[in-house]
Amino acid sequence: MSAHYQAVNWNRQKYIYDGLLAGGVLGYLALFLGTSFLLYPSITAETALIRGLGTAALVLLTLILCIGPLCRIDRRFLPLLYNRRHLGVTMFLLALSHAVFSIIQFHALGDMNPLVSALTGTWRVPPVDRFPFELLGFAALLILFLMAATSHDYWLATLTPPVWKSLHMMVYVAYGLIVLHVGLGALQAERQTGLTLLVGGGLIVVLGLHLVAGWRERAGDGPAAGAVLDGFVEVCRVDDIRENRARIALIGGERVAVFRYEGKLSCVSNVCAHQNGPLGEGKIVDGCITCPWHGYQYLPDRGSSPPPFTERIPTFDVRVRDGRVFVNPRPHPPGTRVEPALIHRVMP
Amino acid sequence: MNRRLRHRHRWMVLSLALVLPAAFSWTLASRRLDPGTGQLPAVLADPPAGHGQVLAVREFLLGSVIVNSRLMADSASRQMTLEITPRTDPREPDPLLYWSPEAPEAESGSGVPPDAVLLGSLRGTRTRSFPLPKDAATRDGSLLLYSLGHQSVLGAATLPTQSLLAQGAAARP
Repeated sequence: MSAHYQAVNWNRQKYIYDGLLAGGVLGYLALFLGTSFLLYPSITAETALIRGLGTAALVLLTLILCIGPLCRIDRRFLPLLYNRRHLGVTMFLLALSHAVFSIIQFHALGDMNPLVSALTGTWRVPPVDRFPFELLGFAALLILFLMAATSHDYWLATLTPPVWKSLHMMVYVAYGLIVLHVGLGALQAERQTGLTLLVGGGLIVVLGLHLVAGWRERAGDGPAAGAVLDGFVEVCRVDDIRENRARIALIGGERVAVFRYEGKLSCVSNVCAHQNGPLGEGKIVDGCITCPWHGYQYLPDRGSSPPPFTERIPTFDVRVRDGRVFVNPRPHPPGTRVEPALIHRVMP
Repeated sequence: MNRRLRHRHRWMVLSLALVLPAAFSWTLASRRLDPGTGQLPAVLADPPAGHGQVLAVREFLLGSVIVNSRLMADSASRQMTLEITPRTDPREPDPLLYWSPEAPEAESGSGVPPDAVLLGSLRGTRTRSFPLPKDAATRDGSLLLYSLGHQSVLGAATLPTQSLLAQGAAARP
């Protein structure tokens, strides 16, 4: 696979993923509307739809934020990560629909511009129960729009992965704004135990998973404490690395991944050129290092994608001494071939 | 992610973990909820019970709700009281009960007439008593069930208060 720009490649996995996503969203909305009309016969269809769309977006955003740490904690969740951007775009569309229907329902019947009414209607009154929660939702929607609009690989390649990743980290700001939007909006007016549990419980789960995953990641950012040999830093023992897998170490301020395959060792940057995914958590498939996030591949001794693809990552010199693995902290330019270190030297 | 992005990510999550639960708890703690009629003390939720002679006991349809009623009158003050018990919850947004001096045919489906008098809420199935306006003793009128949420009259029924009061007076020795 390649990060080179091209139109969306649909495959069977994406069809299944998106089919489940569409079915899940429609099923949730049907269940929400049915339950609402059953429990509250006097509720209007517009109000039920506004609430259904809003809670669907919130549930989806909570799920999206859980996927990252879940994948760090247990690799079995990695398939959820594969098409996460489609979840994000769907969530944005749900949030946008919620906003549009809300503005029509609550702000379109006066003599003021509906958008102006929505953004200034409660601004003059400062107490908590009159806080202009619409502004918080609007700000969150703007962030989600920027993320959805730049979600395609074209923007990933154009902006470069670090900038793109920084932009998409704004999802945490959007999440905070949405939690406060609900807390200062819907939850101020009504005693909705279900909504309180949805927001509060989601908050606990999202933050809890991130803190657990972050705690487990913390050790990975400590400097390699091994011996130094001719400028090479010891990172682990050969036996610590399973066949076709990698050992991740912090060398020269960045993480590298030392892969073991076919009796050899090769070291590359741990950062995938696509979305900066953790290559060292992937494995070697068909002779190529394969990123666990989206399946982008690199030849282990060259740090370049197999032809005709053009992605490249830095490579590092590796040595094996007495069953210990040493890596030179100085990286080679991306795509530079480096002779792999042999685990067992051939006896003459 | 590279180390710089990982650090940024870590700080964002830590900041969120410190600020957001506290802010969300604050929004919940600072709620000033409007009490519903079901949460009011009985003395505030229901007007005082009527007393006096029972003029009529009736069961009639008000919109889609069957209600039981007792019409009472105090012989000294001529104050009339309507005791009413819906058999089922009207299940309409903000159901309000009005007394109107108009005939019910003129009311159904339209808005509340300007001379109608609000008696109170008819949510739920509790029995409650509504003092009727003084005019009810001198003329027949009607009851209106109005949904504030839908802004429409859901149903109306005649309330021949003056006729019943006259019959009650005639029946007294």
